[in-house]
Amino acid sequence: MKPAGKRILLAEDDRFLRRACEASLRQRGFTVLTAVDGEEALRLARAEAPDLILLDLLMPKIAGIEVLRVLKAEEETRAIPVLVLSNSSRENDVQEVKHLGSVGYLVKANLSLQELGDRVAQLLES
Amino acid sequence: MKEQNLILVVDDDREFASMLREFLEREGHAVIVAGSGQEALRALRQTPISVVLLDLLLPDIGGVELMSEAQRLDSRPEVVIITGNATLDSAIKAVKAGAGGYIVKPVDLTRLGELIDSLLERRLLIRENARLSSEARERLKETETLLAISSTISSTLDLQEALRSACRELAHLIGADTASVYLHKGGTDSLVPFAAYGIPKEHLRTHATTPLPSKEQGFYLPLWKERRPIHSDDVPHDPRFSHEFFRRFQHQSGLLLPLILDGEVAGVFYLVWWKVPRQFTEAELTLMESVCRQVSLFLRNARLYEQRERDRRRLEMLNEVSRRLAQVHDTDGILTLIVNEATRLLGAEAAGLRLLQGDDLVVRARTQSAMVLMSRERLKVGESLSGLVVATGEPVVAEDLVDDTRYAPEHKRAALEHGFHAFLGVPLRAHGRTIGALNIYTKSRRRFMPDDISLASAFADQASLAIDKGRLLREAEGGRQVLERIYRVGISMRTSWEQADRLQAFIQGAHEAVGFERVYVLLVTPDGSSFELVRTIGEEGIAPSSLPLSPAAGAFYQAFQTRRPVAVLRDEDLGEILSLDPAYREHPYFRSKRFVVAPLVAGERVLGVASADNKQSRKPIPPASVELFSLLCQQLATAWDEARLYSEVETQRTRLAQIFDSTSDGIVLVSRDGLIAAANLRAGELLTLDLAEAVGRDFAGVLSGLDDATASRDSLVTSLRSLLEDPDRGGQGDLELAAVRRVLRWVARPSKDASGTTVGLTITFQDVTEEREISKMKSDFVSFVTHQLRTPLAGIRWFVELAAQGTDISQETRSYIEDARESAERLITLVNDLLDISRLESGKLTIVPQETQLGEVTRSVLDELGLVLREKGHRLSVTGAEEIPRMLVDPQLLRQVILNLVSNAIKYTLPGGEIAIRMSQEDRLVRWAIQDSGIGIPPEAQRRLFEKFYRAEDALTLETDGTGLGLYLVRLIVERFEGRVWCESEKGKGATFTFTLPR
Repeated sequence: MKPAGKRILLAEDDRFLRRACEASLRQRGFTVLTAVDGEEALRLARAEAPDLILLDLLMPKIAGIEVLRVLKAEEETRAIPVLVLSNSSRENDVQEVKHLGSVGYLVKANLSLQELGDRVAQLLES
Repeated sequence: MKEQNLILVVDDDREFASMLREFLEREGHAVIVAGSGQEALRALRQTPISVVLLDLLLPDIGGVELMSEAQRLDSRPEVVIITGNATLDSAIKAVKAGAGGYIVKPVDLTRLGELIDSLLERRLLIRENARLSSEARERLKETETLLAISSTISSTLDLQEALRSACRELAHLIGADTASVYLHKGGTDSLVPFAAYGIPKEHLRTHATTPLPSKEQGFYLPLWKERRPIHSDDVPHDPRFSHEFFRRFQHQSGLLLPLILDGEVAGVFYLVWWKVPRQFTEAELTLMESVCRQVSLFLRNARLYEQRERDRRRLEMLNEVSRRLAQVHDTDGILTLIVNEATRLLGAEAAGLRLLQGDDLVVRARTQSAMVLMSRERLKVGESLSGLVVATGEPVVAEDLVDDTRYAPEHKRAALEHGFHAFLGVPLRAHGRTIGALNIYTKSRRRFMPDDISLASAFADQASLAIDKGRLLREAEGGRQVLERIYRVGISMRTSWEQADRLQAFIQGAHEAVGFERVYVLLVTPDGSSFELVRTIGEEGIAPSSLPLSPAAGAFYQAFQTRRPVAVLRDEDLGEILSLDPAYREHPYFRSKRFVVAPLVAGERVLGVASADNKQSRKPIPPASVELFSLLCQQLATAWDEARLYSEVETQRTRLAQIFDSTSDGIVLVSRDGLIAAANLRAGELLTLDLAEAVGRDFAGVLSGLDDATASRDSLVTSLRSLLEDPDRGGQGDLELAAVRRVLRWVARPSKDASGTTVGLTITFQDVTEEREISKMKSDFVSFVTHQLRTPLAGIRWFVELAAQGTDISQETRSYIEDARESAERLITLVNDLLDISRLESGKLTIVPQETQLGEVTRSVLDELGLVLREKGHRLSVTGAEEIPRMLVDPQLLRQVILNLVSNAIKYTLPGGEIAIRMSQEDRLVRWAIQDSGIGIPPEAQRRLFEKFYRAEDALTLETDGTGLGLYLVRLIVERFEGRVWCESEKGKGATFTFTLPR
């Protein structure tokens, strides 16, 4: 299945990371929606029903973990796969995120865009 | 020196045998010859033989059979086969049966000589080795025993228990059947049984009641004078062990070991071997002596402790007796009380009092038991022992009345008849004169110690006071009221243990009860050079603070010197007294025409003097007041001295209490039922409690009353409940006091009494607020690093990656971008390492163990590093990966270890090198090693390689991008898995890094 046309919601408050990530995913042919805080992320997830959400944890307004909790609690967003991208590698976060039902937890600094793109493609194919 | 060895020649050829004999004897050996197998066997069984020269063909027994017979003997002789018809088969048989050599006839004597010498030498070596190894085993056992002894005796103050275990260890150490310890009973020469180990049941009773004889015994001299161990391997026939004591226990060997304490024999161990004749090497005796030294040290501590406790108890009892005496008015009642209490406190069996009546000493009071001892109602001064006491005014001691010639014969007969042996008599003094004697008798032989004598003297002083009071009561018309008041002064002097309080009570009493306007006390200074004015009442104006302790002090000195009161009641009396030095006479304070000065006498010592007068009103002093005053002075002196002794004992206790209070930790002692038994000041500060008020209350209840309702407090309360059920478990935790922003670390341990029984909990509180804050700051820093550093780093990494995808970039720019990427990644690795280290150090890193195969992890690391490996052109080999079983570890952390070690090997090996990874499993662990052909590591660096931030100097010349964190991280992780990591290297020859993990 071709990735083109798949819509990804990227929730990331750091504008540099957002820009780099968005550019890389576009190059691969995905449609990228961006959110700069938790509130916007929730709004877009509900309104746009993206195919995948890339979610930062430390974000203004509503923390990523809270966003994830709400997404998984609501009927219409529950099915959307959420991949958490964070720079914290605290075990508690990792455990909680998994427990809440995210499909993965990646540490941004340890990840190349290439690897991220591969993972996204793989998630969207399955 | 050639050791004498016996060689047995077995050959039926007589001529050949004697030829061998001649040769061997020339060589300096002792030789016996046997002409047949039977004869040879007999010889072998009779004497230990070193070498057998054996002909295989004997008329009666086969040579091989004889040989195996010989090998079964304890002496295990070396056997050399000498044979006339050698076959390969017989040679093989002989060697199989254990022959040490094989020689063919005709014999080459030189070769035979050499062979025998080498065999003998081998025997010598084997014997020597066996001796050394058994000595080493012995030494180990000795050390263990010494340790066991010193640990038992330092962990308890229970004398009996400690000595019993010392007996047990001694017996085990030297292999004795029984061991017992006898202690020197104070005041006698007898050694009484105290503790024992291994005494058979039928002897227990006899053992427990039989003291070890000493004086009559031959071993008396060496044991008591030379203080040497004494032993015998034939006790029944040893003249030194002839006492009946040794006959009661039929035993073969005995060893007596003296326990020396302060240069005196304090006791003795006696070790017994029932059947074995036992001899001792110098080394064994030295060892025994060192054990005895240990035990002696312990004895000293236990004695000091006991002494202190006994002093305290005695003083408290004495004080109690004094208080009771002050309340009884009838003199006979008091004196009876005194003899009874003196008997009890001194641990004696009888006591009595004789008083001077004219020239006679008359029995005035005695215990029931002393009736038979003091049968003669009247004695002359100087007659018998009491008479001697009164005549000399000194205490008289008789250790055993059997040997005493001073004792009146009929008294002596009666005493011995009733089993009394020791005597102590102390004088009763009043107004500087000896007025009688207090006698103490014990049934055991006893050498009375100085503290016994001073205690008896204290009773004698009480008795004189009582007698004096009684006399005054009779003499003083209507003096009853005054006496009542005096009694009250006596009681009030004993309501406090403070010397100052007692002094004040005295001065108040003399002022009010006797009616003097002015009273003052001069005490002798500790150096004995002068009087010091310590307390005064009723005087305005300044007094000189001291007077010399010499005739210059006039009447004060006179009262001190004569131990009698000095009074000037009329002008005529002035002629009788020593006058004050003019330098003081003119002083307004001493310008008094009528006065009384009385000495303060406690036992043998004069503490000072007290003086009283009516200086202001110049009222005359009635003669009765002089007596009353000196009576009060006597009371003060005894009360003062008791208080001094008590305060000395108290000082020791206070010192302990100060140590208890001056630690920076809070300490709370909780009894088994949860009540606060004691707490130091610091505990109160830390817990924000008034602990003085809290002592005796339920600790959990007190804690629950704290304002801070934190979870940590509830957890302490809960822990406390379960700890009290099982105090030996101990426990620890943190207690947060939010209101004062304080964190206390508490540790609970069982508290034990002298016998080792758990009596409660000792809980220490340590203020760890700062440590906890620092640790929190540290973890804050870690999250700062993770987020604030990693985010921009990820940005750099990603933009560089995007930039590299550009198509119209020059080759040069592309290389810049590649370098930028590498730099960013290096920085990310550094941040990651720092983060891991910080979390491993703080223990915050949670391990997620999974079934992991070491080979697979290694393979995946190598795949990742494949590119670099190829670039450097290293040859790589991996062996043993399949052998390693799966194990439960955290694969991420293990991967980190392997990655770091492999990266290092690649980095520090010049291009085209060899790298070999070997994995293996051993008994309990798996081993992973990587060997490179790199630059190697100097020895001094090998040790420090795994320290934080350490980098070998050579490493810098080859690569400069290392952080010094990689190997430290490796160590932290491996140690977290309870494994070990190390490095072996020779400079220039590469290095091998190995880690092991438990399976």
